[in-house]
Amino acid sequence: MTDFFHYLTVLSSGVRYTLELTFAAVGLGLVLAIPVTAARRSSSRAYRFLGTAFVELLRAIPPLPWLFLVFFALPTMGLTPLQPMTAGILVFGIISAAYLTEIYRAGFRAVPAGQAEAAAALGLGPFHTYARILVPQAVKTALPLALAYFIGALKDSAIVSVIGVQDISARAVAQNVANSNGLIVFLAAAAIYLCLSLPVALFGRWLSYRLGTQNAVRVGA
Amino acid sequence: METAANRARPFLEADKVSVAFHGKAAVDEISLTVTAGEVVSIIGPSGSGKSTFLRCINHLQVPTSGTISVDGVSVVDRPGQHPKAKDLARLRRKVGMVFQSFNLFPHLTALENVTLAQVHAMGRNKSDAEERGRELLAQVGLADRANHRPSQCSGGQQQRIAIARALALDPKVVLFDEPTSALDPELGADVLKVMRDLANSGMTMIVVTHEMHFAEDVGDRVVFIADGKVVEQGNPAEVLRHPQHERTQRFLKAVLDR
Repeated sequence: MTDFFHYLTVLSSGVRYTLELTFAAVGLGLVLAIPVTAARRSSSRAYRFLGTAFVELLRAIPPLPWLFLVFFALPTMGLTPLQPMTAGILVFGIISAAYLTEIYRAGFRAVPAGQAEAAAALGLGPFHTYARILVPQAVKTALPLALAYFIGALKDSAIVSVIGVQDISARAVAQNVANSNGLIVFLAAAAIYLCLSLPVALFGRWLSYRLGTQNAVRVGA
Repeated sequence: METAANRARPFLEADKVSVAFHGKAAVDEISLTVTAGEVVSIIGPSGSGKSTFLRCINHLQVPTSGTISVDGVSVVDRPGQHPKAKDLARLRRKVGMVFQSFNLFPHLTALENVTLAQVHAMGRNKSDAEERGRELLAQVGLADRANHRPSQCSGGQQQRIAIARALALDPKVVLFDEPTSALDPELGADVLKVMRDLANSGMTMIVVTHEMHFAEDVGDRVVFIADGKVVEQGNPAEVLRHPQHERTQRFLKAVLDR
């Protein structure tokens, strides 16, 4: 038991990297997903194709090959090697942009078509239609989904340990090699991930409950 | 304001408007001329294309062919042309629309629903827009609902808020797409009263409806549409009581014999 707490302390020093990577990557994804969503919803066939190609390409290939490609393959093509953390944020950021694009789209699809029609009939331009009418309503669907995605990203970020980011998993692997105490070490790692994910999951559940009931439409008198 | 010459001038002109969905004509060369101040009721069976035609007037539905001009504004010179955003905005400033399912913005209060486009489409300042908004809510009998969300209002109240929202841009013509079809008769009556007052104030209105009493009492003209075509039109009492065309007779018999 003392071993367990010892490892908890040791592995906790990796929490910073796990959180930093996840927040930076998802933050990057949240921003990048905006133009990709715009492309996928565009009336131009060419933009739609580009947006769809981006999303499908990133989702069809697992994160690990992307990570190796950026971290190991790009330098062989004469580019300056990236820091492991930078490579991790870049790869996970772009991948999360693909998934978040689909989440944004689900949010917009959940808004009845009559909303955009009413805005158009009132002469609102695209900017105000999105900013005032569509986005505030789409957020209610997209936010709980984005939080669920955030939890997934937090856990999946563990694979950046293979390129040398000193996150929770990297420290657990190092402790296991040094002390051959795999069971306790990885249980400690699991406990830390649990402590990080569970509050977000509970917050997400509370949030979707709140958004759901607050907007339940009472039809009729 | 309303001179005889003014009244006779064709204010809205639809010329051979057609809409095809997957090659099938939903609206088939409908032409319609409306003068300023006129109240035109469009009746006809479901799926006859009457709503689709109505939506062409403010370009929510893009016609496959034909042209439409409202108060001298036409957004496209030839069918299939992409309208300029500026022309479209100019058209929609002149044309208000009321939908069957209200389409109020659920995350905004009644007053915000009525002021939003005044500020962001017309460029009115916020306090003027709110003053006008409160005035219009009072006009539709809902001054006390200004700070309520649509979900806190009855269907009839929601539709009256939607009418106030359409009037907020000072339109020259208001299109109504089956405004009472989603309401039970009692709630619909309040909406019809607001529409009647609006007609009496001289507003030009085109109303797609199944309310035959309204069409007869309030309307200046009834247009009967079936299978995407205008079958018959004229004075409401004549069309509704003495329909000439067999298709009109069949439709009215089915409606009135219920």
